[in-house]
Order: sequence, then C-alpha cells, then structure tokens
Amino acid sequence: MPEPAAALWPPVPPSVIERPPERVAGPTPADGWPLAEPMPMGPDTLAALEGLVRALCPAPPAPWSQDLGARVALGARVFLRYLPPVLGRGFFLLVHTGDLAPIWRLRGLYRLRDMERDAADALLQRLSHSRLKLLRLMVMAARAAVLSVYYDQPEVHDAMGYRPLPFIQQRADLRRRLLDGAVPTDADRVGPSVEVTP
Amino acid sequence: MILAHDDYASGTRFEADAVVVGTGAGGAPVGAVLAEAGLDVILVEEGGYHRTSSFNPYARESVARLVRDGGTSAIQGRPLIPFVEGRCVGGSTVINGGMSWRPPEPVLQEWARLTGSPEVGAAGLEPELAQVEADTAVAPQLDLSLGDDNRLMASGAARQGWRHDKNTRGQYLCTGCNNCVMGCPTGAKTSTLVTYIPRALDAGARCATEVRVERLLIEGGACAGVAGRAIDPRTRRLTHPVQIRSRATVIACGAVQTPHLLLGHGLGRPSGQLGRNFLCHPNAKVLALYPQPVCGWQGVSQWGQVREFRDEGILFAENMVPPSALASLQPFHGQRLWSLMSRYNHMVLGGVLVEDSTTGRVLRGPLGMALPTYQVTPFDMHRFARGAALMARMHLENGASEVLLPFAGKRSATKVDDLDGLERLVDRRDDVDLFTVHLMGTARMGARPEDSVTDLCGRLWDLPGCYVSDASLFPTAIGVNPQVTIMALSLRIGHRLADRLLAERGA
Repeated sequence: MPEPAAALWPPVPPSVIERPPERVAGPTPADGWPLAEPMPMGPDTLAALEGLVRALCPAPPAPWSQDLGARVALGARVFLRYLPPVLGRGFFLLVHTGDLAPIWRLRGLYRLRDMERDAADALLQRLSHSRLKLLRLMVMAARAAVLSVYYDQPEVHDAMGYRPLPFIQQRADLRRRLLDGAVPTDADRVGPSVEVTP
Repeated sequence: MILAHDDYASGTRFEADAVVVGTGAGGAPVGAVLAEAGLDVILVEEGGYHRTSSFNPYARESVARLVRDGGTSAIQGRPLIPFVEGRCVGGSTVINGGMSWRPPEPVLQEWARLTGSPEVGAAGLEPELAQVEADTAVAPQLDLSLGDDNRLMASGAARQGWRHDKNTRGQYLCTGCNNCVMGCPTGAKTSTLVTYIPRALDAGARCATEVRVERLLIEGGACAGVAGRAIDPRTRRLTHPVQIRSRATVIACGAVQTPHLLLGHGLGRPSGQLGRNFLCHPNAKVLALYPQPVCGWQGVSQWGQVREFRDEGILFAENMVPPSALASLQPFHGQRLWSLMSRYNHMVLGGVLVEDSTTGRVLRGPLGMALPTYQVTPFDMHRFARGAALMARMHLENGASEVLLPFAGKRSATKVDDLDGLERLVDRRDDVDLFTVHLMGTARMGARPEDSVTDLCGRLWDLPGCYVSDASLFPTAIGVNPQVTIMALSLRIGHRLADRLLAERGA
C-alpha cells in the first residue's frame, strides 16, 4: 500500500468522536458551526405537525413518549430551514392539508390531530396510494421529514440494537493504533455479528 | 485561511488570481494545483467547514450540515429520482463511499472518438489518473474492515458463479466504521476535505465558506469573477453581498448547479448543449432480510461490486445506510415500518446500478431553483427488473428469508418463484423507487464549439476567463463511480490554467 504524503493527512487521527448524542440534540453544536434555529410556527401549525408526527411514528411497544414526539417535531422544524425557502413554506401547506385530510376525504368534521392514532396512520397510508401524484408526494415528503428524525433518536436506535458510537470509537482507536505501527490481529476484524441486546 | 459567515461584512470584496466555486472532487484539486503553483486562489463553498472529529452517525445533524437541501433534491420525471449532493467543504466527496474506479477503457475510447482528441483517451488521461490514485491512496480495503453484509454479497455472488470484484477506494487504513455517507469520523476516507483542501490551504489559498454564488461578473465580454451572498447558518437566510474578482473563474458545482449558474447568463449558445446530456446512473435498492444478525452498519460500505452483468450496464453493490435514511425512503410508515426497522440488524441493503441509456436535461426552474429532468426508458426499466430479480434471487438462495423490492406492484419476495413476473411491471415507470448520487454530463467538453460547451481544458467556448471543472464535462456516462475521473480532469484543468495564468503574469 502506498504511503500517503504526510502533509495530506492530519498528523494525529481523531481518537474522540466529538458529537455524542447529548451534544447533537442541542440546536447549537459547539464545533463552531451551529445548526439552524427551528422554523417558527404558530400554535395551530405546531399542533397540526404534532398530529402528523403521531400518525406517522409507531405506537408502543416501539419507543414513544410525549417528549420523543416533541423532539421529532422540533427536529422536523430545524430540518425545514435547510430546504429551499419555497419548499420550506410548502411544508406548512402540507402540514395543514394533511391535518384537514379527514374533512376533504369526507371522513367527518374533525382533523387528523383529533383522530385515533391507528385511524390517522391508516388514512395517511391510503393517501400514499392515491391516484393523484401530488398527494402521494405529499405523504412521501411528510414521511421523509418526520421519520428521518424519529429513526435518528438514541432510544429508537437502542430499541433496534443499533449502537454506532461505541463501534465508531473502537474503529477510530484501531486506526490510530495501525497508524502507530501496530499489527492487526484477528480480534480487530469486524464481526461476525451477534445480536445486540437492547 | 477559512472564512465563515461572521467574517463577512456588508459589501465584502475579495480579489484573487483565480476563484474556484465548489470544493468537491471537481474544485479542490484544481484549487490545490493553482495554489501550489504560487497563484492567489479563493475557494468558495456554499456549505460550512466541518472537521473530521465533528462527523457522527446522527442524520439530524449530519444531513443538515453536509447535504444540499437536507437531502430532499429530486430529478423530475417518471419516476421522480431523489439524489444527494454534498454541501460542505469537501463537497460530495465527504458524503460518498469513496469508491475509486478508473473510467473503463471503452468509455475513454468513445470520448476520444466523440471529441476527436486522444487527450481524453485512456493514454491521454493516464498521468492524471495515476496522480489522483496516488494523491488519494486508492487501494482495496484491509480485510479487517469487512462486515457480514460484505461477506454475504461476496458469498452470494460466488454461489451464483458471478464475477465479484473488490472495490478500490480512496482511503488509507480504513477500519470499516461505515459512516461514509455522514462524513468519515476516522479521517481514513481521502475526501478532498483531508487531501486537496489542506494542500490548497497550506499553499496559501483562502476558503470562503457559507457563501452562495448567484451570478458571474461579466465585463467586456469576459468573466471577471463571481458575486453572491453569505448564508447565516442560524436562519439559513442570505445576508451580506460577497464579491470575488479574479483573472480566472472555475465553476465546479456539480452537474446540476453548474449549468444552473451558467444558464442564468444565457451561456452555452454556440451548441445549445448547456444543461443537456444530463446523465445520472439511476439505481434501485434491494433490501434482503436474513434470519441471522448481519449488522450491516458494521464494516466497510461497498467492499465489492458484482460485475457479472457489466456488459448489460448493470452493477450490484452492498451499501448499508443509517436507519434514518433507510426509514425515510420506505413506502410505508407507522407500525408496519417499525416491524421492518426493528430487524435493522438483519438487513443487507444492495443497489442495482444501471448505466444510462438516455439523457435528461437541467433547466432553470421557477424561483431560482435548478430543475433537473430525466425520463427513465423502457429499456432501463427492463434492466431494473432484471437486476432486482437477479439480486433478490442471489440473496434468497444465499439464505435470506425475505427480500424487499423497489416496485410498487411487487414489494416483497420470500422465495425465488415470487420473482416471476417482475418483467410485467416495466410499463409502470412511476411505480419504481430509484435513487442516484452520480450526476454528470451537462456542460460536455469537446473539440468544437458546435457540439460542446467547453473545450478539452474546461474553458467555456463563449465566455473567456470562465472554466468548468466537474462531472458536467463528461461527454457520456462512465458506468462506474465518477470521483477519480472528475479529479483527473480537475488536475488537468488546474495545470493548464496555472500555466496560462503564470505566463500572463510573466508577460
């Protein structure tokens, strides 16, 4: 293997992952580059978003709590800042359109946020199979904004047996040892995998 | 020196010999070459500068910081094709898998034929390709970095008697932490963030981050630099105007943003090719569930590729992604999605990558947005159906209990017989889930202004002083991961531009 020019690589590889989950969760990471502030939302839009979050995220026994739901909604609002502005504003429309879906689908005079969770879930699932492409895209966008945040939460990772930080830390330590001239052993190989017990 | 939003005052104005817009595979090498030649260089990046030690597996932070538009970009057409582009110092090289393949020789022969120049043939590009491989330590993975998903793909291919080649990757002592798509937290992946960017900075280049370039400065019929606005990282709003005046301007924003910027000035008129010839290597995902734990998130991403069907323009590779990315792409939600995601440790995610048989186009869309368009052809749909069926069969015969397919009309198979009839789905183009990261071809280079946008050095035919240096230059699709080819062209453009600028300075 060719030796890289020393100047091209940091002389000391990082041995500490600076972003443990408790620091990622905050709105302003301390590495000099803050995450955007959450998109401001009025109380009605926020309630509609929280209804959408509840309809899209799984119910217990999957991880779920009011606090988790609030964090997912907050994460979705931060995410909106990174969209092109027109799409970010379009998401507001999407949230209200989804919230009013029971009315325009002629299910009754109530909103998605007022529905039982399973019924709201089923309604959105049906919308995702609509013959109207716009409706299918609407559900797709809502899923992407909400579920990418839900499936990024530490308790959800734990419940799935996905614990990336210790693994990454171990591989970073191994790389540092290899750069220091250590000879790898069988113990340094990845796997074979065993089930991680939550 | 790295500059960020708080460093810009209203009306900030810089001057340099050369400004390079973009810091990925197309921009960073040219920036390094120019700076090392003694020229005053400013690299401009729309995203922020993030150190290796700040990379982590959390999408809510990583995708926001590293990926354009939070990963919501999509190519319009049938079907809609989501794509991702890097938006950070290092560009897409920070969030790709680091796969480093030379362009196949027949492709370069075709480039030489199309352009009428051996300069872009296999022999012509050899020095730059070799230099890129040395600069980015291209090599196969250490065996210790292999995970079970890598092993299952290899054993599955062996069981079928298929050709399985080890990938060569831009990495040095990669230990397989599999966080490539959210930034390499060990520094092993040789993205431009840890290769060409430090070289450029060491040679005195400045890197102006958090600046969105909105237009070229055109004076007297020649390009005199770029103008844009700083981006407030807290609100994402555009704030102070920033202007960079330069003797040479290199646009390296990728095959979507580069034509978008240039089309705003009505450029590319001689051939009308600017924005056309859009190529994207679409791929479909096949998700296999094994009864035993696999932990595909442990071990290198894409150890190898199944190249048995290369002649048909089909490649297979394993490519595990974090749960947030996987979940957000599934066609269901709620309890049904949880039932799937709770088996995350049993998954092997593979991609069926299809070489383009058609081209699309990048237009300037409404409200200042780029609008890439592409229509998948019936021939491509046949290849997706064939590729997905082959990969699904491979997994099922290798012990998988279930395979999830990318077709709305057929989502799952638990035995090989279930795969019968996939070909019947090929007429329903809206019902296939595709994805891409390889965007190419929208400012094709050539030897004549009548059929190309730039010359073979990336210089725009109709705007002196303005160069393109990214995958936009490709005359055709290359059928493999494009990073090495982009970097090779970028080095060439850098050397030739440096010679020119130094000669002008001497004169």
